[in-house]
Amino acid sequence: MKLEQYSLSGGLAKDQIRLMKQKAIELVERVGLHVPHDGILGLLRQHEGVSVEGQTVKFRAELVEKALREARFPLPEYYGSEWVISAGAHQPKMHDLDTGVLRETTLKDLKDLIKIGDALDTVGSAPCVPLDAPIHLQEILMHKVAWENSRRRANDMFEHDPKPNVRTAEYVYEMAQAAERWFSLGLYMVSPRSFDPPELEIIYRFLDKGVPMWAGTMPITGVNAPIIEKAGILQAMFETLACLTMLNLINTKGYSYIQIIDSFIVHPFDMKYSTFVYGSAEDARGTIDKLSIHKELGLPLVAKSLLTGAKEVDPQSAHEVGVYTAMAALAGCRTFRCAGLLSSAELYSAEKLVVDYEIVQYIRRTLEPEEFSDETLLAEEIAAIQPGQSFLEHPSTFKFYRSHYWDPALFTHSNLGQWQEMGSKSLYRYANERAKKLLREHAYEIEPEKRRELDRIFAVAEKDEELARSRQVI
Amino acid sequence: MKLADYGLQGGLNAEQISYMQEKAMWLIETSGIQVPHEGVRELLAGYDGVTIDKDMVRFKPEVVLEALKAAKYDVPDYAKTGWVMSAGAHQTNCYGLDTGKLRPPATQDLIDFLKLGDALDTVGSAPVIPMDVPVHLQHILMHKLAYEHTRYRCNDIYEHMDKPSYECAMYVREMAQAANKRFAFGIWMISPKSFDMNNLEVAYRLRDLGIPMWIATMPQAGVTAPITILGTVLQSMYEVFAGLSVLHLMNPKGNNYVSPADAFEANTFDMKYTTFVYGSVEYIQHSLHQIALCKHFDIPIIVKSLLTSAKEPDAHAAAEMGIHTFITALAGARAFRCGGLLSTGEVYSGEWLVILHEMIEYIKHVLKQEDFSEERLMIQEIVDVGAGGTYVDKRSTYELFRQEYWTPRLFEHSNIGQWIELGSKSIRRQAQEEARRLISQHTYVIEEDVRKELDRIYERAKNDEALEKSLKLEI
Repeated sequence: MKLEQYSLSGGLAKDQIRLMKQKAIELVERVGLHVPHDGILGLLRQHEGVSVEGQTVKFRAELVEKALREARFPLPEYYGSEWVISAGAHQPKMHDLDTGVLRETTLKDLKDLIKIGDALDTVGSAPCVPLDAPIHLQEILMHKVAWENSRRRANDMFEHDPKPNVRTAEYVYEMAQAAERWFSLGLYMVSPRSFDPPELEIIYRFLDKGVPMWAGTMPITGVNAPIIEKAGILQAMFETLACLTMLNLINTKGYSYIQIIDSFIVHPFDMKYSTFVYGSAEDARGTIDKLSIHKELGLPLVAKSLLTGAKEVDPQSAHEVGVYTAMAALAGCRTFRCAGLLSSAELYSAEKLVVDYEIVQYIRRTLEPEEFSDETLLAEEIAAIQPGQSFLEHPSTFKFYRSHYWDPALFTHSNLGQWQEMGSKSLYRYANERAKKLLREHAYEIEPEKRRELDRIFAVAEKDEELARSRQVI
Repeated sequence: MKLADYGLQGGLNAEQISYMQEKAMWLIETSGIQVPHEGVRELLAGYDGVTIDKDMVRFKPEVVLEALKAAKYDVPDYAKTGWVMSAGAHQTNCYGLDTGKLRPPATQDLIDFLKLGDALDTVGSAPVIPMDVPVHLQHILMHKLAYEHTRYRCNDIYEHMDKPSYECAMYVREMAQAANKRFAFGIWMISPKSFDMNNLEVAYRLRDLGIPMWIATMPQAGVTAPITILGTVLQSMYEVFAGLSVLHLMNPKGNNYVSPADAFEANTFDMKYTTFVYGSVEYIQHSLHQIALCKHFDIPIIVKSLLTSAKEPDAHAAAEMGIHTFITALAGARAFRCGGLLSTGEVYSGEWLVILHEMIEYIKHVLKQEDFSEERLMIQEIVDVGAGGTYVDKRSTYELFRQEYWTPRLFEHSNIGQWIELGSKSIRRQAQEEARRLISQHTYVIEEDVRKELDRIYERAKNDEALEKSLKLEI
């Protein structure tokens, strides 16, 4: 018999979540969204239950419920069967793998970091932005390089790589079809309750393509959302449900869904530093609320628990990541986002990715239920042993010493003397060496014919003046 | 309305604990424990329910249950309401706060670390051994300095200071009486199923003084106990219950109890490095069993969650300590042991203690109580603030931004630019600076007359040949 699995109790109760959902839908009905796009407003006017006044759009509750019912969550096969790490969210800085110095990221870094991530089975968005490439090609390269060098990156609903304008989105769409990879379009709202017009334009121009579209929002407490975290979550629910309802009505050829990686969360804001904060105590609590709401609404579980406010791979980063991830795991989550990120997502670190991976394995092993039986209690062996004797030579020791204990790759159990004999290497250095080894040994690459086709599309993009103009700041 | 507090479900249930207790009682009654001390055996022989066969002693379950029932735990007031951090377990290496280098601790380190610990309200044993004084004075000095510079250290149920000889114990007792501090004597069993003869001898000679005595054991999975965690916990339960029964019968004038600091201890062992391991996955599993058992047997909970096998105050140390402490806090623990220790107890680090203090504050804030109400959903404000609006200038933001959010001392929320402008200081360096600041600003000292009395006793100990002889290794 296994011991009962450990799990988290407490937090938001079902009736509290239902109350929040009810209030969110009331806000969708009474207050509505600001939709600064004439084309989309025109489409919405055609639907019953939609009221459009100027650029303010309100939806009847039935439409919200319908959108929730019709939302589809195309989860990859690995979801549910393994612990999943999503790594990277297109960072512009990193710690150099050779020198450790903080610097801007390049195309080579993008390739290297994608390969290291792939070696650790990570998913999600591209880890960094290739800042040495022209700005209009950066997002296209992020997709291309991810598809060429990894199996899972930028390839399922855990990615949220930007497509900043229609032209870029068209190139990425064409490449996705050539590489037989995932393509979706996301709509991140601008809190409170509005949208960025260019993002609405992309959505509008893709409505005939039947692509999946998702709704996301990222309100910040005390800035563009109320100061109390639960109220901020309520605002996130209101905005997300309204946005989903809008997409569900206009994206008739494709399906729409809630961006599960950033849904129903509100971001804490530090008034002392005027900074967006990840990894704080309040951020962890907010994620547990999000997971509770997801469970109640039947949505997949993802936690942005691998983020931290720390600037280096240090006790702060590991503590914030460890506690936050353990709490999310106890709440039933098995997919964790933002590995490798430091400084509330300002920079990427391959060493942190390696350490985050170890932390997730540590938590996974900790929560594996133990067997409770006479075979694990071993009372007869205890009875038979005499004072001064040892269990070292017992058959049970030989049988269980590997299977019963986790052998960590990084968090090794050497003693002080052994560690000194091995060179007194810091954990950071071990992680750095491991990252380089993973990079050296990485073998995956996309089929040659697909690569050639991606190269061909990219060559066209490189010469596309309209694309170049589309990213120029006027 | 409050949100339901966060807690932990799962693990050992009451039925499984009863089964383990039944097995432990069976082992005590049929296998017994070795008591390698004739005087103690003679005392035990006089009791009903005790069987002695050569040096093996067996107890009927009634004797064990009576010992468990009689055990009292004088939990200090501060532990009844607050979170407790116990720091230090007499380490023999430390990171110098000045150089950051590893070295054996000296008397000044002991004083500094005691002051630092006191500034952070820590409890427990002395943090380091003063390796610059003669061996027979080290334990006495550890008590003396703890009494002189701290309020809680070596002064409650959470300490587990050694008194390696009768003579040493008597000096410490005299000092404790002079300083009005707590005095107890503990016995560490030697797994499997035995005792240290010398330890028993000290307990035997102290038995008429009516002092509290505690029992503890530290079996190691695969070495001195079965390879499985549950098997090792079972052996620990068996040994500690049998040991408690010995104390209960031989020390009738004093209170006898299971040391909460190591109750149901089951240590894990790494076969690759042949090392004793703290902070591992399996040690967390053990701690959760320990908490379940302590709740069942009404023993105060203190978990050894602040330990790690990491050699430096780094991400390894923080991951192990953070996850371990958080999960055990969810399970109900509010007292945590071994703050400042690294490398499975081989090293003490002042900066690590400062970082740990921050980590515990973080966990407290994750688990804080929270109200839930429609008022706190702030619906009218959401209605009032339109697209493009802001909450920065709202009264609610001004009134609540401090109380709704924790402001950390070390784990700051600066961005990378601000951090670089502030000098790109590592957490370790910030912690070193904070440790030095706390030491320099520490003010507690014991009353002058008490200090003089402690000095007088210590002077006598310095010249005591019997004490010196009592700690000489005789081959």
